[in-house]
Amino acid sequence: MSGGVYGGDEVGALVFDFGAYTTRAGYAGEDSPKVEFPTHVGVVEGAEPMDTGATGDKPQGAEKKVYIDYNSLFVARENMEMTTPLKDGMIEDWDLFQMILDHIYKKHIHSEPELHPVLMSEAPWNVRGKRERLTELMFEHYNIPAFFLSKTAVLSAFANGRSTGIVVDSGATSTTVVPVHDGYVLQQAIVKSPLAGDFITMQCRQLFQELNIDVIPPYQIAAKEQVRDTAAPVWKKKNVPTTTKSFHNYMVDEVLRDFQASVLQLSDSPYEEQVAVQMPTIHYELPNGYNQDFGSERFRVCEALFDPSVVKGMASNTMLGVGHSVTTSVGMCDIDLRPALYGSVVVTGGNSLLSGFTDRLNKELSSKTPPSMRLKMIHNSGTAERRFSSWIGGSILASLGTFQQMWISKQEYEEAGKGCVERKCP
Amino acid sequence: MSWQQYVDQHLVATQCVTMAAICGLDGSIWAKSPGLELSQDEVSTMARAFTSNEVLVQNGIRIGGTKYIYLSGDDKLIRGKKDRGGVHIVKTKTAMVMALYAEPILPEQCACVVEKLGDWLIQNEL
Repeated sequence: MSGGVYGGDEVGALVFDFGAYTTRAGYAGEDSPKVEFPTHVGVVEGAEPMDTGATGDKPQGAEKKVYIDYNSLFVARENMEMTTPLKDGMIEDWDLFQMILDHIYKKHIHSEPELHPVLMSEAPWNVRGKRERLTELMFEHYNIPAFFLSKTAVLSAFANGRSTGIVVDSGATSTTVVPVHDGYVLQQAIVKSPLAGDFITMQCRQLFQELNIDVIPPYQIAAKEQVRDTAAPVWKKKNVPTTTKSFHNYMVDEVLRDFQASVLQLSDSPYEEQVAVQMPTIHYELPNGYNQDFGSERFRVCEALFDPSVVKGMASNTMLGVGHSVTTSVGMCDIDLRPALYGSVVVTGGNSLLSGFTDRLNKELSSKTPPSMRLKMIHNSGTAERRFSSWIGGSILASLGTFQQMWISKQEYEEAGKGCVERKCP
Repeated sequence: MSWQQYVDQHLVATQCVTMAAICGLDGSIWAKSPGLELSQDEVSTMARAFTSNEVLVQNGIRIGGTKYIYLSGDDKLIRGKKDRGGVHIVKTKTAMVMALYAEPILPEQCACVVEKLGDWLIQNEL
């Protein structure tokens, strides 16, 4: 028999889930992650290693200071650039990645890495080289006792009680459609599209530009006064250091993301101006006190998710709307699998919380599903469940009794080398 | 060592593989476990799939008339699944090593054995 069996059921495993927008970490078996913070980190290059408290994590020998987690990240600092260790869902900057891991162990887990097996999520299209490097890092640097890598889509499906289904994950940087069969990703049929949260944020930014409204992030505001609807805002500027463009943009995006979550809605049928103007308006106040009612814009801005042709200045045929992505992906799968895939369409990801998203997807898919197949959409109504679904799936998986023989143990790693990740974690 | 010995001693004897076969990339069958039905046609389809997997993605992998769902693959590896069992196919310099597993064998156990043999064969220019 190959592979040693790792201990009992209760092994105190840790689950890490690095998303494009936030990172989640916590103990397996719990129902929500212990900690969630932005995957973005602030980097000050060539700064004097000044001591501003316990928040900054300084790497050895490097002439830069890195700020991780809300409390230190959201402080306006001179020359602090916002950057992310991930690119296209895969780890790109390994130093930053390691610093985030150090931060999690030191500030949130408060325990030694060598005591806890680690289950980590990865992008379904992750490549062999990066998987092996990650395995090496975890075993050699952190000295963990056991490791497992699993695809986000598989974990999301597990979190929704399915091992077969098509996972529609609309996150920050991309919307992905991934077919999962019996816990395995069908790599050839993955469909990715950049029409996701960040894209909508960009659309909101354009909307505010068109409306001639300045979006001032809270860090620049010292005081504001109540003003009438659409009246010019009255506010006092806070005295803050000159910040970098990337920091300012991130903060503006934070405001826009709030706007997105509270105001935007997808109409349940393709956007029509006449219908949209009759819908109820929503009142929104920006951090600097400016406020107004938003009517048809609420629907227009996010329509692009389902119908990319409404976006100005973009060739309409280059991108697929969400509904179309699903049918394309299913169309690339084995014919015998298609009924099972339509039978469990799992919707997840923070961007899918946009009001009306699931209803619209349901409507689009039911008109496209072949009559011989039954369409069933599975989506959790809870915010946390939808945003953390891959973490929750990891938490469930790592605490299963039957999973304990699946770990790559340290001993196995030492015998077979980093190549074993490809065999053990398909 | 004959190819049959590889099948019997290095694959099936580990108890991590239920049935196995070693075939040439041209579609010829060099050795196989008794009871494993395998047609020349099926083998050559598989061999072609290492360069272009479109046929398998749409129609699945056929082994002895049984259909396995194509899960993933690249230029040296193909994985398939059927119910609680499945298949791993590894390409070496001149051959393909195919191993089938069924419950209670776990997919990873089978993969470890087959891919280890595959690596060894590649190292030895086979």
